[in-house]
Amino acid sequence: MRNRILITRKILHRTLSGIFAGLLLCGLAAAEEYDPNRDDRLLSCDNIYNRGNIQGAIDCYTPLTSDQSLHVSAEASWALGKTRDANELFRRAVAEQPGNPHIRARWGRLFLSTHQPSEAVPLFEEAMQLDPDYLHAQTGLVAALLTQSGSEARQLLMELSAQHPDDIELLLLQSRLLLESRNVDAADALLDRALASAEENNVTPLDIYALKVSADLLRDNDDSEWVQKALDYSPAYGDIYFIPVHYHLINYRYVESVDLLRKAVEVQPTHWSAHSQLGVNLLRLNDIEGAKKHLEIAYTGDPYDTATVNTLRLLDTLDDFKDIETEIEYSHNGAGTAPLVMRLHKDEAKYITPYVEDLTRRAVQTFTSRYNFELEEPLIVELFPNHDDFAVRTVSTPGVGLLGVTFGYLLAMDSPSARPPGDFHWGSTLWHELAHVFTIKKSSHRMPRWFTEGVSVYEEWSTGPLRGRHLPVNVLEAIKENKLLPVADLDSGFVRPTYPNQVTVSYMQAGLICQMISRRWGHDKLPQMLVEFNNRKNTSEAVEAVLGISAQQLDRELQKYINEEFGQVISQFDEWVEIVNSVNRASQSSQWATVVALASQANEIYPEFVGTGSTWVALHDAYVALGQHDDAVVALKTWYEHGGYRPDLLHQLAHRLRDDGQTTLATEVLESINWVYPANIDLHERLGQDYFATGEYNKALREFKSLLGLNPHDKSVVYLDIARTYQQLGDTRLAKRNVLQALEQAPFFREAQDLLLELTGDSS
Amino acid sequence: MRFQLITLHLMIFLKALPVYIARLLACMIVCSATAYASTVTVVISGLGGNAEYDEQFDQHATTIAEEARRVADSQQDVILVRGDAAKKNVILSLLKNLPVSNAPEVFVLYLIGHGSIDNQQFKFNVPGPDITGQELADALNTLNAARQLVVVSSSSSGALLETLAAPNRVVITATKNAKERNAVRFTEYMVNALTDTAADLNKNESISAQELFSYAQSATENYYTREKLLAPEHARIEGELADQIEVARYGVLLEKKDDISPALLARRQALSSEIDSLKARKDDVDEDTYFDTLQELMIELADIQRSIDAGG
Repeated sequence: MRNRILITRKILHRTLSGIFAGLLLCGLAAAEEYDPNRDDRLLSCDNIYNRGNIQGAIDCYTPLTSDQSLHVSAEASWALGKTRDANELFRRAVAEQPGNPHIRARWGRLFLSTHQPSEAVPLFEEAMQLDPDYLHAQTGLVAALLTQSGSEARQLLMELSAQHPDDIELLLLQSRLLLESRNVDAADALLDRALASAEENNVTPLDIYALKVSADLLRDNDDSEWVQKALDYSPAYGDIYFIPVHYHLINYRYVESVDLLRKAVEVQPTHWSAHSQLGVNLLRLNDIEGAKKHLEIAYTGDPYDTATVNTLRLLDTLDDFKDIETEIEYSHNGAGTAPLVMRLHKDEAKYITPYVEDLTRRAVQTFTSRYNFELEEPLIVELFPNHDDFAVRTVSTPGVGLLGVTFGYLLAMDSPSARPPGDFHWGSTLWHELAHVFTIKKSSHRMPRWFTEGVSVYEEWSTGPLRGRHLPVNVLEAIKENKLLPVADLDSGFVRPTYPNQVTVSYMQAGLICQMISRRWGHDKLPQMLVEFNNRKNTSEAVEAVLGISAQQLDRELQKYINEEFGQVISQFDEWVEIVNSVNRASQSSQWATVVALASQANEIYPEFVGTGSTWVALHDAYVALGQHDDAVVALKTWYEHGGYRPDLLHQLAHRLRDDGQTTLATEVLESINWVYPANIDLHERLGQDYFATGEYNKALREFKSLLGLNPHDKSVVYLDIARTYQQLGDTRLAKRNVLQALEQAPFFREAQDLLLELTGDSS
Repeated sequence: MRFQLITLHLMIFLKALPVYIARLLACMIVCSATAYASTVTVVISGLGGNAEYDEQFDQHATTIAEEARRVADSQQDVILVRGDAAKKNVILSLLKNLPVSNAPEVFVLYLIGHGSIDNQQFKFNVPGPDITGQELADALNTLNAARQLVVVSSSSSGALLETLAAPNRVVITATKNAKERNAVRFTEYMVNALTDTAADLNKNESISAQELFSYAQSATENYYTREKLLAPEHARIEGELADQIEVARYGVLLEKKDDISPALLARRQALSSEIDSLKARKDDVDEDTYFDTLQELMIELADIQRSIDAGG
């Protein structure tokens, strides 16, 4: 009963921002967060704050910071934004009252609000050990766990909601999840229940208003009535703009996010998280100076926000990058050009620029035609040699496993040197991200996540620089275990995965759907679906409109398609895995005849397996050990044709092909290494010479220039090669300039002297 | 064969060392080349500690001496000290008895072997008492050559960079400091630099001390990168004259050196200096003007080169 009475006195404010998107420590920070045992004096101050009287609230909270009660003092300090003081006071309060679950739960909430959910979790758990039914701790735990992937938080939320169906905080958490999966009507129904409960219990409804605005945004209603209601209630309530930003961001709508964030900081200039997010998102729109300004404001108010700190550090590192600007020509409905800015680290730019430019050019030309869409703004391609810098660029925190991300016209990714040689195929990643630009922009950011990822994966497989279709083994396993989601719900596999690797499984499923659509109905259906998404159709509606079938029928078609494509390996999956394991064991013990027999059997079942542990590679190694070199080359060649890309093996293959006189294929294999690990002097030297010999002078030029960028020991030879190539291309001026650069390095270089005399007509 | 005799001579007649050196000096004065800097090269192979290193050091030192001899005006301008002969008193006497008056323009010393640190003092390991860095410096300071090159290709050799520093001296060490104590690979690549034209970056058919260092350093780095090993050695070079000390020569300049017109060589050298001067001003000159001027100089240099190639 006591708990129930206190709930009616709670003031709702700003919780969701703290729970989901980082609390807004607003100089003055509302810290009550559904506190069921809140001190009356704090509640009075909360009321003043929630009505927008900031100075009044400061005057109210300040004397409480020296209150005799340590936890009241901690709460007042927290409310005033003095989180370090609050932390220390909570520490002392817990030491003073170790059996009090409320203080531990509140301390956990402080950590949650300062972007440290991993610190919050144990405090909530400790509180729950003291009182297993303590709802404030239970809800805090759910909120903390929801910041991580996995299904545990959802399960807990469902259980708690069943026990406490009218708890406003739980209703809001559920609404939030429903909105993330675009289940807007269901979310709205819960929000209506929350509103009724808030009214009945005289609870501040601001958070509910903010989610109402979010629901309206997801319905493409940019003029929600709930905005004004919130501002009438509390004129400085920046969250009314800030909280809905989350739903724009998960749908790639960065321009719209920036608009909302500008409004948030306008009504609430001390909304540090809004400043921080504004900075992060301006950076995504390539407004570096604007980003810096707002991040610095955010830092002055909340120096503990890791997103702010990490992004400011990232901005410092951008001094080591250079922008290389060029134009991409394409022909589509007449000739056109698209400006391209390559933002590359200075150490890498000299050798990687030609490849970034070359692949981007090919991709823009390909996708412009395939998706009937012309780029309308400059394309910005950023490559980060430090993975953590890329991760901060992407999600403002290091340590994520992504390879690339696209923010509309700006894409960022790991550069080849961000990972060990051969660890990832950077050409495919760039191709994948460039496909996103077209799907995102053609649909005005309205396509569902599964579709844009699906198209990108499908384009990797069908038009990208890497052969083959690369389904990881755990995806095959998921297919076997019927873990694929219905297409109408496939986005949830990306946004809220419920089992490990579900994101990867969802990528592959989406890719297979797009591949199937293209093969069964024709590629044109994919751009047509983008048009439907742009017309605000959801997945089911777009499928119906373009393919003439229901989403459920599409799911059934996918099942048939998968059976056709992977039926053999899926039906024999366990057997195949056992054979692959046996091959590896036999390889380790040098039982080469066994390896040949088993690897051949495995390759028969699933020839597309070219990743780590590939049985094609094992077969190759066995043939080499047995002295059957021709068979070894065939095995390696098949591995390559299915998309194998380990640089050392590709070098071996190219070498063997050259020995066998297959020079064209050898060159093709060598060329493919560029998309995996281009920082190899020998590779560019060999390729340059090959292309020169076959008269492919532009490619030769690209190779020689990259070679120069890798700072070879003797640059004069490379300059001479470049000069000779320009000579063949008929560009005497550049030929002369480069031969002089060769001689600048090596004044007595006879071949260069001869070419100079030839070019200047002084040869005798 | 003659070279080997000289080596043997050193090994057998150690006690007659001052006499030998006097003869050597007399020869050097007479045999001094006309268009090239007179150079005396001393190569010392230190104590290996086991048969493998003994053989390796000996092979490297011998190859270095052979290459030096190909360039030398006289075979006696190159002295190889190895095996039991490479004792401290022999080496120091040799260095201290090199000429003071009528000194060679260039003096080159290679120390190939193991180095160690004892009481914070570098020691080059030889049979019997080791040579300290300071003893080496004292001996070298008595020499009157206009330019000196001292290459210490040994473990811990970086410790000598300060000890041996002098205005007219270039010092190359295989390691950056005393703490890099492993046997070094630098020597192997230094030998390659002397025997492979790839080290000749400016393609003038002459390997300078700077080119020797650049090649060997780069090749050593590449070795450790290729083998995915943490590099335990980082070579260093100190001194301003590294471009002006020749350590090897090949091609026309070597094969036809007696036939080349001194005037052509002088003009070749003058043009080379003009080119260097132009390159130094590159940032201050308009790009087109720079390359136009460079082109004129390069065309003349090419013409001269052709004349030299045609037999001077």
